[in-house]
Amino acid sequence: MSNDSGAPMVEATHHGPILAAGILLGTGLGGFVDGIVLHQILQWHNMLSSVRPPVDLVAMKYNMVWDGLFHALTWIMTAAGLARLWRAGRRPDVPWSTRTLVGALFLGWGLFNAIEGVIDHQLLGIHHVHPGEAELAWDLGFIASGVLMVAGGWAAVRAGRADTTPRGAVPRVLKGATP
Amino acid sequence: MEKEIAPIARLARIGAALAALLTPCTSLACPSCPAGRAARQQVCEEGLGINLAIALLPFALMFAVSLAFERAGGAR
Repeated sequence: MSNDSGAPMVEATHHGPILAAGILLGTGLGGFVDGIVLHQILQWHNMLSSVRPPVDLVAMKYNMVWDGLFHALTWIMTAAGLARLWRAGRRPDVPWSTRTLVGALFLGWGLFNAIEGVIDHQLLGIHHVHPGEAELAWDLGFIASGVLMVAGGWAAVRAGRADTTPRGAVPRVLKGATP
Repeated sequence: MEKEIAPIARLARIGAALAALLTPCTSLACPSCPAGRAARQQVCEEGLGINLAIALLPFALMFAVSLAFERAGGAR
C-alpha cells in the first residue's frame, strides 16, 4: 500500500497514543464540567466544603482558593491531552479514529468521576455532591454515572479498534468509491 | 393604602441598588482586603500539604492510567 506521493503507507494500528490523549482530555474537560456546573453555577459544593463549610466570606474565599487549584489541575490535564493528541496526529502508525478518541474521552471522564467520587466523597469526605439528607444517594449516583460513562467509552474504544487510517489518509472504503 | 406605598418602595429599592453599586462593601473581590488575607493565611496554615496531596491524588491516578493505556494500547 502507498500514499498519493508513492511512499509506502504504514497501516495505523497503534491506538495507545490516541487513547492516552483522550483519557487526559476527558479528565480535564470532565473536571471542568464538575467545577463549573456543580461548584460555581449550582453551588452544590466546593473542594473542601465539608471540611470548611462556606458559611461566611472568609470560608467562601478559602474554598474558592481550593476550587481554583482544582481548575488549575483540570487545565493542566487538558493541555497535556491536547499535546499528546497533537503528537499522535503526526505519527503514521496511529489511527485517526473518532470512535477511539470519543470513547477515550468518556472513559477518562467516567473514570475520573468514579475515582474522585470514591476518594473525595466516600473515603475522605472532604465534600459531597449535594450535601444534606440524601447526600449518600447523590454521591453513589455520581459514581454510578462515572461507571456508565466508562462502560460506554469502553464500547466505543473497542469499536474503534477496526479503524486503521492515519490522519490525512483517505480511508480504503472511500478510495474504492472514487472513479 | 398599598397603592400609595408601592411607588415609594420601588424608588427605595432602586436607590438601595444604586447605593450598593457606588459604595464599597465587604463582599467586593479584593486582592488585599482583610477577608482575602485571612482566607489566604488559613489556606497556608491549615494543612496545606495534605490538602494539596488530596487535590492532586485523583489527577495523578488519571495520569498514571493514561500512561498505562498508552503502553497497553500498542499495535494489534
